[in-house]
Amino acid sequence: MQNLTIEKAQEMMNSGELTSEKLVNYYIENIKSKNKDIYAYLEVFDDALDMAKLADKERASSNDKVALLKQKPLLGIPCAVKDNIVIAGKIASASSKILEKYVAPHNAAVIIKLRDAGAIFIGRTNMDEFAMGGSTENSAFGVTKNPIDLTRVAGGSSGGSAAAVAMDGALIALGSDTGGSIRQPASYCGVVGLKPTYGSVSRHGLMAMGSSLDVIGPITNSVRDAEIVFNIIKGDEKTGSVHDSNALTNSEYEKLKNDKDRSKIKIGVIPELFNIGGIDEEVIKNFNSSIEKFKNAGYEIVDVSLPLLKYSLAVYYVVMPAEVSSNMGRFDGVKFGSKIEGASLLEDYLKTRGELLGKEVRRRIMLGTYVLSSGYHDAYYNKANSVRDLLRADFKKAFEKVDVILTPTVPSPAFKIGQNSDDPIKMYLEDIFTVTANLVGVPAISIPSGKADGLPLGLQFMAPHAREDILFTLGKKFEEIR
Amino acid sequence: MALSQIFAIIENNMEITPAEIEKLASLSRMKISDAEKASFAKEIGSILNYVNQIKEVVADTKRSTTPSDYPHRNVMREDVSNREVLENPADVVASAPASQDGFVKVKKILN
Repeated sequence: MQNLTIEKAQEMMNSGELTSEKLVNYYIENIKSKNKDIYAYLEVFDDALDMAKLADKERASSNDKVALLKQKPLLGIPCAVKDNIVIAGKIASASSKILEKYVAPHNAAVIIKLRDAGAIFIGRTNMDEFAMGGSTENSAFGVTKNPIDLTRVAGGSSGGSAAAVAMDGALIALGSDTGGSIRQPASYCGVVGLKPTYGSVSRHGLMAMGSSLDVIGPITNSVRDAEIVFNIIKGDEKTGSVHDSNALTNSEYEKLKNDKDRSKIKIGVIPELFNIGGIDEEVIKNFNSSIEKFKNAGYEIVDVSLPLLKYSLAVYYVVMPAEVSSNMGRFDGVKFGSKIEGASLLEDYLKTRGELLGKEVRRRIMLGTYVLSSGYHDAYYNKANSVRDLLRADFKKAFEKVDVILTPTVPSPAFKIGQNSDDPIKMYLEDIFTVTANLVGVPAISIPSGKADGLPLGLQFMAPHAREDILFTLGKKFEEIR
Repeated sequence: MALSQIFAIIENNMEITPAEIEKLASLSRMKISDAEKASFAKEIGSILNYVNQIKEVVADTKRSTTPSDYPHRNVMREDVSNREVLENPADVVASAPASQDGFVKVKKILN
């Protein structure tokens, strides 16, 4: 069952060699034995097996399985869901005390799309509280450990989703990525993680963190699986029942592609990248060897200059907290989840937010409040947005020369639990290669590229807006040659 | 001298005091303990020191911040009941911390 893919599972289920019920049972047994150590899942849904049985019935009663799978490519496929994506009738806690008992009254757009495609939701996964963090150490309910080495973090903020796939606890998982939260844990856990083009996937039903950066994407065992899931969740076309979607329509998505011919993929690398410092020797070695493999496979490698890249992380840590401080305003002890009673309405707010939001969340809210406050607004928030515009222009220029840009996903392999917890800057530096794609809005994927001392490393591919197809084509090639 | 340049000079070595943290916490409607004030002051100061490097970049802050390549449109829908999204209004009310008779319960703010 290990190294199973969506298409292989469908083949086996069509031939009767496998059923969705067996598959769900297999994952539930794995979760039972491994989750107490790894803590990828906050909850396994008790209706998953019933849903699997229904999927099996639907398949058995179909005369045309090809047509059925065309309509429902994920029929019977178990999927883990990050706990900041809402499923009607289920708790959605975002790993925060303030939402510990919050039951979502509706489905996220991606949940409706996956459900209509036949997916079975197997459980909700652990994360950094409200997706703020890079290690799941900021979860209010416990740390997710790396399935490859239990003394190390699984990464974050979608650490639970990456660990769930890596520990063979789900075939596919959903994560969300604001500054690297899909790609970084995927890299740490040795799985594939896709951050789609900004706006290509509906954020309806995703708890907002940084609204100009957030995007939902898949974590999978293979590039092909990521492609299948992306093609299902993207777009705002109504798949029977999706309403209130805010995603790009298919025609808007097509329009975003510029008409440059990119049929012969040219690969860009950024020489400045390695001057930033603090990058693990093994990571550089592994990156260079991946580039060598592409060269040997006949690809042209070109240097591209992105002089503003070194400011990405600083820009990100102004823009993101500003948006966080605004988005988190809704958690006031009145509308959702829990509250701590005070003597007045003001005291309700102060106590509820002060005591039920974790330290990292409060740190970012205050940082955002600072950079948005009068007198500092120009120097921080407006300035950061201007640099962000220049960075966008830099990327646009680079993508006139090349079709894809490669970097390591993270500067080092998964770190030890607790190692970075008292130094926020050190923790934030883990995002240095990933935040740029969010600031610029381009799609990016992390694909396992080897190991250093037994710990997985990842290679990040960035493509122009709406060119996920290039990531998939080159990513599949990399899976062959790596 | 532009305001931003003056700020750049003042803030080259950011020091955030616990009193400023208290002000930020109050603006953000969060009660914070004295012990936490000190650690927040240190951490937020060090983050601001790091992000101050954006001041080195020459960029016009009056520029449009709209990503021009993106299609922008309002997300509208017909003014009709949408039961898939809002299956049961009672569930929405029930997800609030306090409710009574189908209403979200809030504290009295006028005496």
